Amino acid sequence: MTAIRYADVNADVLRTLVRPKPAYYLLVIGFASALMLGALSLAIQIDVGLGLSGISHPVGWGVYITNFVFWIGIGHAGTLISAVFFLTRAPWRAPVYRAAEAMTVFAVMTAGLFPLIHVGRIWYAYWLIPYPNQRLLWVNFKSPLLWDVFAVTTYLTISITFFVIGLVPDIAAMRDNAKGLRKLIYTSLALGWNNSYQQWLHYARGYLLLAALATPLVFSVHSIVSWDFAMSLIPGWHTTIFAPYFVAGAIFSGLAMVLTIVIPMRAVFGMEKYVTPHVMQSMAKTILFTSIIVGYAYATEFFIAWYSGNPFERGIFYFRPFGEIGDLDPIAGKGQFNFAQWSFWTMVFCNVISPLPLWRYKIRTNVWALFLISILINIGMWFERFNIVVSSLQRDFNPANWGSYAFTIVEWGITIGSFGFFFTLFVLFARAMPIMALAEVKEGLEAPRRHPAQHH
Amino acid sequence: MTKSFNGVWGTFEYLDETCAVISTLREQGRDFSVMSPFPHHELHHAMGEPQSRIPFITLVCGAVGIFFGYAMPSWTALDWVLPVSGKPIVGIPAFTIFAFELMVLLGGLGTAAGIFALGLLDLFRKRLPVSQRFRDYNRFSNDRFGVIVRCDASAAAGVEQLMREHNAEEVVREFPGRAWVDLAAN
Repeated sequence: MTAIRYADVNADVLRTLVRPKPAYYLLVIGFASALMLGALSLAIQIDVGLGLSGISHPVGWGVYITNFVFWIGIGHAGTLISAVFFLTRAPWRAPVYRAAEAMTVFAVMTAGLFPLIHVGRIWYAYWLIPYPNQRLLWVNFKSPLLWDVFAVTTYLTISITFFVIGLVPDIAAMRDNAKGLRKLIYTSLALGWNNSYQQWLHYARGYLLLAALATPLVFSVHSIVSWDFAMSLIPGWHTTIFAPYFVAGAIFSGLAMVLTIVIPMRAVFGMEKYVTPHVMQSMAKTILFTSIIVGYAYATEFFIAWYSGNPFERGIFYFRPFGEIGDLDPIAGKGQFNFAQWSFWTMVFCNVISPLPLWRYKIRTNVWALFLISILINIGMWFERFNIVVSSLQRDFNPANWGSYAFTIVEWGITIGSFGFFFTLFVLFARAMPIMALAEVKEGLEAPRRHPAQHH
Repeated sequence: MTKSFNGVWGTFEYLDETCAVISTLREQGRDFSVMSPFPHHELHHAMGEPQSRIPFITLVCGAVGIFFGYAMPSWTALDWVLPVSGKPIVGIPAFTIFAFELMVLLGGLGTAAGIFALGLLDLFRKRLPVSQRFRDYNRFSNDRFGVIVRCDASAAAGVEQLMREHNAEEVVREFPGRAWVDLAAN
């Protein structure tokens, strides 16, 4: 990146904000249509009631909670890249961190909708907020569900804060190049930013502290989400491995989503000289690393289920891959290999097998291969969440309590709508704000010097 | 604190020359500000490694968060006691999650507010040029460094010479209240 000058960075990034090509509008219409489908499905569910979904006894947590956990997980990569990789001084983060942060904010916003959709009576969403009811009884602060409310709202707020702080100097750069109404808007959004070193001094120090605060937050949020499950007694959920297992999975899926977004963005906006093969490869290595952790966690769950000698644990971990005991028996088996088992094997293939080609350098630097693998991982991680949430509820302690779950067209519509919501917000953002952080990219460049040999 | 800016400002293309000017101004004990497209550690060294008060704000806000994180659930638990299976009424391990989350939340929001509040406060403490020429100059957010020196007219020539010696692209004197003095000097 030594050949790039500071002025090139501004020119290249701000160029993405000019009038887009018609294909952009087609993209917006496509995603907005998916969003509308979701909104329509939700409206119908609100009108008719939660009975329209497949959620019932015994599977009380279905696709909506799957989507909640999936989207929260997607959100993890942004804070990982903007906070953890900032503290560890990974230089490759600079070109992708803005996109990853935007992704985090939009993913957590998407995730935040699902507990509200799931509880059905969305107009009572404010019951989640800690305040005393009419008999002056407060919410239960010992419940993991309330921990989750605090964890997710804190995560959303801090992600937005991080995002906004990083944007302000770039908005000031946009202001300096704008005229008329745009200048007026950018001036008000720039919060008095004038690039003085005093401001940079507070900014750099504050950013460091925010990163230090956000780093444990990244690991805590999905740990707390995992405790929604692990604090219960349900076989397959009640396990101490859940927190690290969920966090590794979240980083794994989040980074895959960053690749899914950054690879097309890089081509559309001509950002190849910033988002270099080294950047892609570094993300691919992190994905491979977290894939191994996730694979190890799957194996550990099975081993402990067997080693514990607990028949209920053993039962659920037989059910997940093989279905009913005897199903695989060609004589006595009923031949049922239903959706729970498909979701398990899809999960294993996408999350454990499909990232294995990343061991090869040629694959790590091939954008098509990376894009394909990232899509597979996204699919695999959705099925992982589905597998965890649904299969354990299908088979708890008492066989009389067993049941199945078939999700309905309304749940499909809302799920598709969540992708529409996320991607619509992202494409609108990519058009309205710089997709790379100008100051951070410049920090990675060689500073201009009249006497280059003299610097330390 | 003066109400309006009096002094000299210059723009630079190269980091090493900007740092050289800053170091000299610091040795001379001048009151100056620096403009930069991003924070660079060499500028920080040249300016004598100034410190920000942000960590103090973060500490206070984070501590307030920890306090409320423990205090609020404890108070609600004691306000309406609900014994469950002999478990402690005030469950410190469970409440630690709220303490942690509120520490991060308030600490983060306080830090963010502090970044902009202190930056705005510095605008009043350290006046910047008010001329149209300065306001129209838009390359500090792009690819140029700037040095702004607050001084009286008698010192302006020396500052101006220092900047020119280090190849400043533009050097501008601004003494709004002393226009007649500059005219007479020219």
